[in-house]
Formats: sequence, C-alpha cells, structure tokens
Amino acid sequence: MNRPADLGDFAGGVLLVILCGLLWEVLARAGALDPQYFPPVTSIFSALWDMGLQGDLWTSLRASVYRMLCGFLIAVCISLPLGVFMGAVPFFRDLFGMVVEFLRPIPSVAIIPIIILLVGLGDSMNITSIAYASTWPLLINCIEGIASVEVLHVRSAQSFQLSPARIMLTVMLPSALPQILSGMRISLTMALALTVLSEMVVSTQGLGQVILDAQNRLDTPAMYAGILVVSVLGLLVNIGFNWVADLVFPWIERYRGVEV
Amino acid sequence: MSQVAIDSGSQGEAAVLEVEHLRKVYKQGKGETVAIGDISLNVKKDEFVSILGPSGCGKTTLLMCLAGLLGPSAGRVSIRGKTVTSPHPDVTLVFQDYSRSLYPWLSVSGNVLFGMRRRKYPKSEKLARARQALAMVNLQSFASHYPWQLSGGMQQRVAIARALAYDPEIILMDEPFASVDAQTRADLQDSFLEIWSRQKKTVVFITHDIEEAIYLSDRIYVISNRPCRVIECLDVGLERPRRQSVTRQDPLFADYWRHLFSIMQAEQAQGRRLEQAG
Repeated sequence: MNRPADLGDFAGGVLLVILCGLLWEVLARAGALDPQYFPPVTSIFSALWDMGLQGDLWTSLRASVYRMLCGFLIAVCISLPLGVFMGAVPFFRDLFGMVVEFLRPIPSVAIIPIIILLVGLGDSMNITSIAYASTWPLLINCIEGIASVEVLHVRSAQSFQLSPARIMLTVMLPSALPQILSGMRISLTMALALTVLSEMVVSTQGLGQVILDAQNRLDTPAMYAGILVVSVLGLLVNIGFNWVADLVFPWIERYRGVEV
Repeated sequence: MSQVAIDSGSQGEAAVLEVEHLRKVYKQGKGETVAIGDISLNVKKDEFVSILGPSGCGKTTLLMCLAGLLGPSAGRVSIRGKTVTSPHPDVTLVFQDYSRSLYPWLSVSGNVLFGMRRRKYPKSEKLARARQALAMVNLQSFASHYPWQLSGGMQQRVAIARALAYDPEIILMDEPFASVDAQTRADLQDSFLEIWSRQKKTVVFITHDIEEAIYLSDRIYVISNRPCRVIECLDVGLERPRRQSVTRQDPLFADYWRHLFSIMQAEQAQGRRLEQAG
C-alpha cells in the first residue's frame, strides 16, 4: 500500500538473499559443504554464464515460457466462465461440485500418461498437462468468489431494477474479482511447476530438460543454474502479474487492505 | 388489547402501498417455518409509517416482500392498486447493514450514481442529482472517498443519498439506524426527518426501538413474534417538525411510550412462554 515501505521491505529481502548466498559460498569454499552436492555459488553463476553464451538456455527458456503461457491461458478460458457459471447457479455448483472434488486431488503428474495417450508427445502434451493442473485453483476461487457475493449487494441492485446480466457484470464480478485474481496467481505458479515437471518427463528442450540433463551429466553447477532460472522466472511472473493487476484494478489492493 | 382495528389508516386518502393478508412460509426440507402469519396494513402517500416488532420476528422478510424481492406464500402486496410481483421501480431500500449494501469498489459518488443506472436521465443530470443527494446528507466533500474510508454513520448517509438520488416514491428502511451509536442515531433521525419533510417521500421504517418509532412516525404498526401479525396500529399525533429535545419531553410521547411498551412487554412474555412450552 505504502510505496517507500514496500521498497524498504524489498531491499531487506534482497539483502537477506545475498547474505545466504555469501554464507553458502564461504561454506562451500571452506570445504564444509560437499561440492558434488553444493557447489560454490560463484561456480553456479559461471555455469549460468556459459549456458547463456552457448544460447541453449534461451531456446529452453523461450520454449518453457511459451508452454506455460499457453497452458495458463487455456486454463483461464476454461475455468473463468465455468467457475462464474457454477458460482452463480447453485444447482450446477452442487451437480459439478462432486466431479471437481473427485478430479482435483489427483496429482497432475499422475495423469500425464493419460495425456500422452490422448495427445501424444510434444508441445501439446506439456501444454495440456499445464492447463489441466492450473485450471483447478482458478476454478475453485471463481466458484467461491461468485458464490459468496453479499446477498445485500445483489438485493440492492435488484431494487434498482438491474437485469440479472447487468448484476453479474456490475456487482458479482467486481465483488468476486479479488478472489478471482488470487486464484489466477496460484494458477500461474501451478503452471510454472507443471511446465518444469512435464518437461522433465518428456521433452527435448525446456528448463525442466536443462535441469535433468545437467543432473544426468553430474554437472551440479549447471543443474543449480537451471533451478535458479526457474525461480527467477517464477518471481518475475508473480511480480508481472501483480503489476498488471494493480494497473488494471487499482482499487483492489486498497479495499482489501481494510477488512470490509 | 390484542386485537385492535387495523384499518385506521385506510380512511380518507387512498393507500399507496397496501398489504392484504400477507403470509410467508419458508420450506426447509420437510419442515416449514412460518415467518409471516397474517399481515394487513396500508400506507398513504407521503406518510411515515413504522413497523415495530421484537427482534427476529420476521420484519426483514416483510420488507423484502414489500420490495418485491421475495414472493408471498399467500395474500398480496400492491402499489397503487397493482400487485407487486418483482422489484418495483418506485421503491427502494435502505438496509441496516450499510457495509454490506454499499459497493466497496465504487466511490461514494459512484455508489450514488449506481442507483440511477436504469434511470433515463442524461449523464449531466445524473451527476447533478448525485451531487444534490450528497449535499442533502452533508457528504458533498466526500464524493471521491470510498465507503470503507468513512464512519458507520457516514456510510449510512451514503446509503440514504443513494436512495434519494434514485428518487423513488416509496423508501423502505430496515432498521437503518440500529448499527450506529446513540448520538449518531439521533443526528441521523433528525437529518432524515428534515429531508423527508422537504422531499415528500412515503416511508416504511422497520425498527425494534419504541422511542425511535414514536419520534419518527405518523403511524406505527406493532407486530408480534413469529409468525408475525399486526397486534396494534397507533396514530402518532405529535406535531411536526419534531425536535429531539422538545418532542421527547412531550407528555403525549410518554403516553405513547407506556402504551407501546406494555404491548411489547406482554408480547415478549408470551413469546417466552411459548418457547418454554415448545
């Protein structure tokens, strides 16, 4: 809410990360950590530098980001309308609720074999499993958000003669938006996780493959470099999402700040 | 004292709002709850009528039926002779729970403008009406604030401004001043009475507060515990304009209070007996 304080927190966080890195470096150099498992941080960065120079890293990164975004967008296209619909109509909420509760706990990795059977190997397999996994958080949050809209908000709008469609657009969606956005945030994280995971299972490129390859070659610094890229990507995706959400819906953070 | 003639308001001018043998039953699985037993009442144009009853007696259900937001199980609600089946364009509501009826994502003026969405005024007139309504409740300088930045009393004034800008003929109010402190309540009562006397609106005001009912109303319907029915209809002859310091000292005020208090007390005692028996 308060920019200067945010900046201060951010600087503190960065400082802590740097300190941890330094500690790791010192312990590794001193021989307290086995370099086979925990190579010095500097060697991780130099491995990252080499990978960047070779160019493989960029093709992998591009492939991963592409899959992640495709999967996420498909998930949004499915779960946003479906979640709003289920949230608004109790009959369908109850009807499909069981199906959702049955499918949701299945770990997404467990259904990758089915997806391979259905769509074969290749990008479509990665994208399908990403879409599948990231559908649930958004779907659940959409249903919850729409179903828990204040009755009085709706009643007021009804008394002002608004049609059900108008009430959906001007009352129910804005009211559910904070929850829908936090569902999307979780879905994005899910999408990134499934990107790496599905690439480890089957793929010729992508960050998951980069990490797995390095591990097979016992090139631990390169493996850590891959992991570092994934974590930075996740961080950037989260920051970018919050930035866009803040830009489009500036009122949300503020009204969520105070308990309404 | 239980059955008093309940048609004392129907003499003279025709009623704007009429309720005839209204009954509302909620079905819960196999059982059912009778929220409203049998209610008949009527409200004349520009009249300020209170419905006074113990907490949890189904007053809110009654108001929802009056607004056309709930359909009756039997009987009928009519406005100027026409049966109400859906939310009526000439009626709006002010709820007790302002924090749940104002939209937190809209500014104060956004909330007031929201009420006029289906009104066919040009945009400039809507803005002028919103400004005017906010001025009436003394909130003109808070137009760009958000509701949650205001105190409870101010939020309820926003809700009142929203109802006024919508410019309905009938305003239904569900314990609108019950969630604020005593001083704010007195202020809200006075400012609303002042607006009402200038704007000429028909008001149906639900409350469980005897003094509030006497202070505000032209007429008071007292209703019983669930399943609620009308047990008394009292015309309030206190002169207007009313003032907190003067009106409440009027001997007539005390008489009304004693009369209503004894009715409510008897009703509550009976409610307790029924609870123990059941």
